[in-house]
Amino acid sequence: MREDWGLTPYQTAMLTLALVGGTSVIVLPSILAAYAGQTAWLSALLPLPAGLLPLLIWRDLDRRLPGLTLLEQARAVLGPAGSIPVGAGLIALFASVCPAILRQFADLISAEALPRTPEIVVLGLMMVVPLYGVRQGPEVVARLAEILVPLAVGALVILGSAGLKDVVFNHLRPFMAQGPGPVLQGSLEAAAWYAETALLTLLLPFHGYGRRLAITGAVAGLLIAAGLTAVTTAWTVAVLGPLAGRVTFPIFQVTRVTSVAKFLTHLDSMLVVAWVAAGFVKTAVWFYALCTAVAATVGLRDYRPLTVPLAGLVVVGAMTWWASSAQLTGWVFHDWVFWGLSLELGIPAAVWIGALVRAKAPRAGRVTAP
Amino acid sequence: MMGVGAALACLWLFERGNLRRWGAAERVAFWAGWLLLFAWGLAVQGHVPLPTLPQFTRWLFRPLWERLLTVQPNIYW
Repeated sequence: MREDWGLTPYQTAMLTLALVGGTSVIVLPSILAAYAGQTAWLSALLPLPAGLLPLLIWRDLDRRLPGLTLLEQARAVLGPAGSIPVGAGLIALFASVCPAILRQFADLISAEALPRTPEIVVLGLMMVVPLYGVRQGPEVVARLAEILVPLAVGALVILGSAGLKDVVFNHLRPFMAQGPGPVLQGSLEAAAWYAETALLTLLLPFHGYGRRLAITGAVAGLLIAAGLTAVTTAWTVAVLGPLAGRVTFPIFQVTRVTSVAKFLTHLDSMLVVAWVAAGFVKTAVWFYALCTAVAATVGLRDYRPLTVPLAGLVVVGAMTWWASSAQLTGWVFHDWVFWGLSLELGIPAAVWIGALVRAKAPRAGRVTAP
Repeated sequence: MMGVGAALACLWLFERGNLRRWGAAERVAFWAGWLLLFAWGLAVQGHVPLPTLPQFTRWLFRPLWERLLTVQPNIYW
């Protein structure tokens, strides 16, 4: 279904920041610290090309087939039959990520604020706002992003500066103590996060200020997300030291021990409020992608009939696929890196290669929009 | 089953305006989605051992992970 609105570059940047940084800032620091120790911050910066690659692919595809989403481009390039595997791959990706994101934020709420509330209640309530936003259309999600994401980032920066006195810079040394191997392996985990920009191939076609500004906004959002992740990782390691790789949601543990003039304490609750707001945006963006991918694959003109049942399926998946928070972290550690990277980079690359082959084929002629 | 019936009736009441507006394919997708959700919910309630997506990804990628990623994370699970 075509939407008659245009993404501003600022909205694009905030959507990208929520898309990548929404969970990378709270989950990645402990994963990177577990692999790369003192040099974990470098593991957060090295995989930036993995996030830029889907954007570059989209830029070239949009030059060839302007104004179409990746699924519509796949249909134009590969034909109706060829676009089915692309749709199925995207659905598999979104259907695995949506419950994982929802579960991560529900675990965060359960751990920090509502330890006695049944998880199904937290999961259900966490899905209400994304469901409402997606049902109203992508413009509402974009406006939600431009309001809530700066608040979350601002809260992180303010609380971070309040906790600077707890930083022990010696915890960040020696540099690359165990060689490049652990740093590169940590980078692989972060690469799967940054390559989530592949989802933007469903949103960037709605740009309202030209392709160049859309790409600029997306790259800016990705750079801010990677920078925030690197700084948060360094901050976590500098405060928690060798414990950084062994705690869940380390940034909240750091802000928990931060105090302002020994008067304002337990500042983690402020960060939870701000970051859960950003989590709504991240969940909404992924959920929108899931709904549109399913609708486009089965040939619906409107994705809205699917929103409520799919929201229920996401909640059931988040509830039943992982027995505990540790099991979800284990899945992210061991399986998500290959599963995520292969789909996030493979699907746009397959459509792009198809477009290149069609453009070079002498008899196929120029590929045009359906 | 009475619960499922009551839920479907509530859904029809809640969405009847949209159901009138949507096309035939959208109406079919709406009810198919709900039936899938109810079936999955009943299977979970009945402790039916359904395969899950994380199990599939583990089956697909665990051998690759064990071969390629040789650095063990420094954490205790």
